[in-house]
Amino acid sequence: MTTVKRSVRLNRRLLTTSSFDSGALGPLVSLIHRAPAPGTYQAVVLRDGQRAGTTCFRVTDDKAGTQLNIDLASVALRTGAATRCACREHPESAPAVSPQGYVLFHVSRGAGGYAVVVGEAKEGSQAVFDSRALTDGDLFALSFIVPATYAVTSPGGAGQGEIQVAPIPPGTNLRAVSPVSVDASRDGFQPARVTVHVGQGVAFRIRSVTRIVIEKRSPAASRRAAPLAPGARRILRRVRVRKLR
Amino acid sequence: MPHLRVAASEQAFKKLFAKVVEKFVLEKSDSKDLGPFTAGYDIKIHLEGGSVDLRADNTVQVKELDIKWDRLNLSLGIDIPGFCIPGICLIPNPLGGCILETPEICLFDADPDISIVLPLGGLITSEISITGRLRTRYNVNADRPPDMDQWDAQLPDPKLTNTWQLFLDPQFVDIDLVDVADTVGDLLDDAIEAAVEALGVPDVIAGGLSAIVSLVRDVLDIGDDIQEWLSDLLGVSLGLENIIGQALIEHFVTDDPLFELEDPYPILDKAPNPNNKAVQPPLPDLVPVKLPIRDLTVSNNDVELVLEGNVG
Repeated sequence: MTTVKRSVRLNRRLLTTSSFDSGALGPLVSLIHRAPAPGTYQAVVLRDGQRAGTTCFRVTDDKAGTQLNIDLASVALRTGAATRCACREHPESAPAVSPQGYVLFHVSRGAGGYAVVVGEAKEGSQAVFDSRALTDGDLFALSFIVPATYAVTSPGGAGQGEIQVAPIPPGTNLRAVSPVSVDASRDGFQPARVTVHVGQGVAFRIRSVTRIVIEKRSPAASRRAAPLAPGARRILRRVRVRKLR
Repeated sequence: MPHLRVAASEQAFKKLFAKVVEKFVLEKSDSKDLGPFTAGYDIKIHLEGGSVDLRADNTVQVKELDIKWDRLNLSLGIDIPGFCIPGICLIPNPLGGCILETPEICLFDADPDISIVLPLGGLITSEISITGRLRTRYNVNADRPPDMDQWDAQLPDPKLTNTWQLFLDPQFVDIDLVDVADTVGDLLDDAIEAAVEALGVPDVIAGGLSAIVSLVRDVLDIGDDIQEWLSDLLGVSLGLENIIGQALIEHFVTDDPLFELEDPYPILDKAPNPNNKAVQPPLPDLVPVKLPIRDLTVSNNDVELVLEGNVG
């Protein structure tokens, strides 16, 4: 007889997510942006283009950490669509990061579709970061859970890439596995094809592209016809199959 | 020189011993926290067979007394630590650790627990060996009222008389897990795999599934030798060897003596007076005769056991 504790739920979203978009953040991905100049900042979280929550953080000169994680799903769940600025009441209690550090945005639960816009917490300030338009130096990192082949594109860019994800080799210590880095620029991805296994990270270093989209290729897409030779013409033939008795 | 001496052959002793063994049944269940996992047992055993040997050095040896596991359910509860994909270290720290790392991703929203029950009754062969000495003990009947004399004590059913008891006092009890059926390994593997599958992780993460199975085996500390693992778990970690041994000692020493001798021992029952004559009124009956026994001791050599005592 075997029983499993019923209160434990498998996060199926992790297994069913087939596309990863830096412009619509979801599970398994992280977006990293260098900390802006010292100050107090408000991060407005958007979900499917609608305001879903706000949070506040500080960039300080004191001994703050070099990494600040902001879970967009938790911000949306905690504050909802309230428009009140979260930074004005107790800005000193907001989490802080060193000016030499990084702010990491991620989504811990749910379907995704998140974006974040960061600006100084004062009237009339301009956005210093918008996750829908990446800037040079940003990092877009993700881990794959489902083995498959994934296509990588940068909307508006010329490059196309491919990531092949294999199952975890038996006995692998995931902590000891280094991520694979890919430079993403207008000229394309370098390297254009990478092979990783489940749980191994892939980090895109952003150079002159504003968005990265990764999609799992459907089985049909992976069996599409080979490219045509110069001057060749594709002929479509319709074949009727009769069932043999 | 003792007033009384009674001897019984080894064959007679074997019959006495067999009757005591026949009565032994142990039913017990318990569980224990063993750190990385919990283990529990639910057992019912009885004893069969065994060879009894009276030895010249005044000891008795019982060998190959089979433990029959009428029920042996072993339950294992394992707290699986999450199954998380660690964060990606984007900027390693040359001094160790990581300067910038993504959060880890966990497949489950809490640490899942799995529980496995293995019905091992009939798949394990165990036996007991006992070396002990025969002893006597005077047993004062606790149910007898203080004002009841020894004559009245023989009237109720059961009698409330005091007794001399003969019992085997085990000096050494060895419990040996002799054999584990080959199928136990498969049973355990199947149970672990079923438990992991029940977690609902899709087959697509084949590596992940085998990693969890491997993790469970690691948590349970199952090595290559399933017999050794099971023997350690049942015998040492769960303490079944001690539990069975103690129950057996209690049974032999306290619960079921090999033999009981009423004290005072009835020699002659009450009887009509043999001098009665038909033409005369009956004479008083002959009174029953009982022999008080003291200093009863027992010893044995390799052919017989000997009871010696005094009268008075």
